[in-house]
Amino acid sequence: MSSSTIRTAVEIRNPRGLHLRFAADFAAKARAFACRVYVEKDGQRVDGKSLWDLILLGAAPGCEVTIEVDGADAMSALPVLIEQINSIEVYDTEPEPGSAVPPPV
Amino acid sequence: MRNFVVRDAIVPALSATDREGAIRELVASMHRAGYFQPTDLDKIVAEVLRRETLGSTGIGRNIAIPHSRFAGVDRLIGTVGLSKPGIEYQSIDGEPVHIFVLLVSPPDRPADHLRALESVVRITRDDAFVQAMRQATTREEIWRLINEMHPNWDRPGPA
Repeated sequence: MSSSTIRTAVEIRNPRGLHLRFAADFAAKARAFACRVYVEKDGQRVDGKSLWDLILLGAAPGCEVTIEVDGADAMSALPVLIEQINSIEVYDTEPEPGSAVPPPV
Repeated sequence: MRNFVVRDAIVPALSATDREGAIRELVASMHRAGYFQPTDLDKIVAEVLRRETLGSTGIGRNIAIPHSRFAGVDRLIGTVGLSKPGIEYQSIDGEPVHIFVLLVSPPDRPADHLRALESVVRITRDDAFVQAMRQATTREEIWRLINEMHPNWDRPGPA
């Protein structure tokens, strides 16, 4: 493990767990950084920049995952990703009228 | 997937040429297979489309997982539809969608929904499965592929 590797455990608070929209947002935020991003649950470690990998974790509400960042901008990435994984947004509300359709991931 | 796919609702060749048409066709197919009241169909389609406005469920590799929560079901159900020409879907990789997996789940069962998502992603990671599905032309073929290619992929939890 290099000196720029940071790991932090976080509980999934989102009432729908690591569902598709949530995973897509996390992967998009992770891809904005150059560092490697991993998310680990029960010994399974996946690429945090991959929507498909995140879905395969099957992270249900209340479970604990570990975010690992490794690379030059790891210190910048970590708070952003922690904030994202702490999201409890369930996207039940209608988008604002006139708002642009958000781009896909 | 075999635990929630309604076999009789499988659409081997979608007539639709756009996203809304495909979703309507899949929901209508589930209704013909015995699900939903006629008065619920527009609501379900509208909710699936609303979910698409939050971000495309075209997850790439020609796969889309349109989905909706709906209080009128007591367990997660879904179906599969294929489009040979492909349907433009604003997918994450820009590719058209050839394989649709519609999911309709009760609002209060997030774990079931997550497991279903996981099972779809797990099975469609396999190029051989996707290739075989894209060549399937009948409901029977599609059902057989779902049941036979990955007998263990609908177990709960990750591998």
